Amino acid sequence: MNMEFNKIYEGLERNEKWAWEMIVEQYSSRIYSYTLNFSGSRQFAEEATQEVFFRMFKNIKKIKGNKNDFEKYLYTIARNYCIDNYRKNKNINIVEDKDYLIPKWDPDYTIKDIVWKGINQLDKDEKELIVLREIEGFSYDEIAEILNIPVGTVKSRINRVRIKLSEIIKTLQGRKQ
Amino acid sequence: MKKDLKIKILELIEEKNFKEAKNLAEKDKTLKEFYDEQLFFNETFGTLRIRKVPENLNKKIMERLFSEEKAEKEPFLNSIFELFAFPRLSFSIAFSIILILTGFLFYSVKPLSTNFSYYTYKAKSKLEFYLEKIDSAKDLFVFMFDTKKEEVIKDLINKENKKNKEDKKWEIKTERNPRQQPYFFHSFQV
Repeated sequence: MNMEFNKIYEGLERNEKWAWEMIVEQYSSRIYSYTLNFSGSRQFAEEATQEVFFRMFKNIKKIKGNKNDFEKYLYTIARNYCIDNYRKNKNINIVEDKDYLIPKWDPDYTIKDIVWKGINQLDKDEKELIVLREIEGFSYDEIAEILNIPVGTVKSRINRVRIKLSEIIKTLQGRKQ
Repeated sequence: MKKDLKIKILELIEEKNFKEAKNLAEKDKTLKEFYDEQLFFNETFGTLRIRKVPENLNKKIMERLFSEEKAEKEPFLNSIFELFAFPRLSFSIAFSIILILTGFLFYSVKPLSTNFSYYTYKAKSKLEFYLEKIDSAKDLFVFMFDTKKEEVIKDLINKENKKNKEDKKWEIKTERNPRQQPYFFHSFQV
């Protein structure tokens, strides 16, 4: 996004189409990725991405005009939407869409497949932390704000989850061999 | 113990202090494996992010944003109704209701007006009755001691005449003269 975020934000506030197009283009894949990683369902991820942008559109005036706040707010909406739906329909976690995520022609398909399976064996909260930190690339502070927990807790939990994940992956590799 | 070391290795990797993390991991085979795994994870996690969205998703999002906004912004008939017609309509409805209620109030109160006059007269008569008693006592007192007895007698007769006149008026209109019928129960009279 070459244009300064403040200018785009002004456009968003005025509901100008060009500004929203830029934002949707920039963030739709990230929100889609996050919701897909959260739910495992492509259909759900598609619906959720649309809904997240729609809610953002409705509440744009409540957000301060800087990029970090904007991103945090976007992910918070996505997270809340996923959690609400998870509560309503607990068995939503469902289809492993790894074929979509990791194409079979990828030379590292086997190992990525194992990592993907390992992530999917984590608990929902653990998976969420790994997705936010390692896949979506958020900082500890940002994750703390999105999840509304202290930064120290985020750090220690992520370390524990990484240790757990490496043990899960070892088991999966052992099974495969 | 090993778990603590693993956490330490993770922290060092996080700080990008790979040299020290490697030195720490060299102490043990399991730790070395763990260190290598973490490096591998760091490389792999990034590739798991989905960088493409399904076809038409962005288009669908934009359509949804702007079609719903349009529907909210430009409902021609709705906006006319809300901005112009509705306030007037609600005013007209409220005004009509007030008119109807006022009419109904008048309609209900009118038959009561005769009764109202009657009860006013009754209350007035009661009051007058007691005032007369007081007045009579005063008159008697004055009559006994005042020298202008003739004027007092004249005054008393005038008062009595006035009272009789009013009683007569109510006798014509209704039989329920409170002076003659001090009780509400007619059967009692009978």
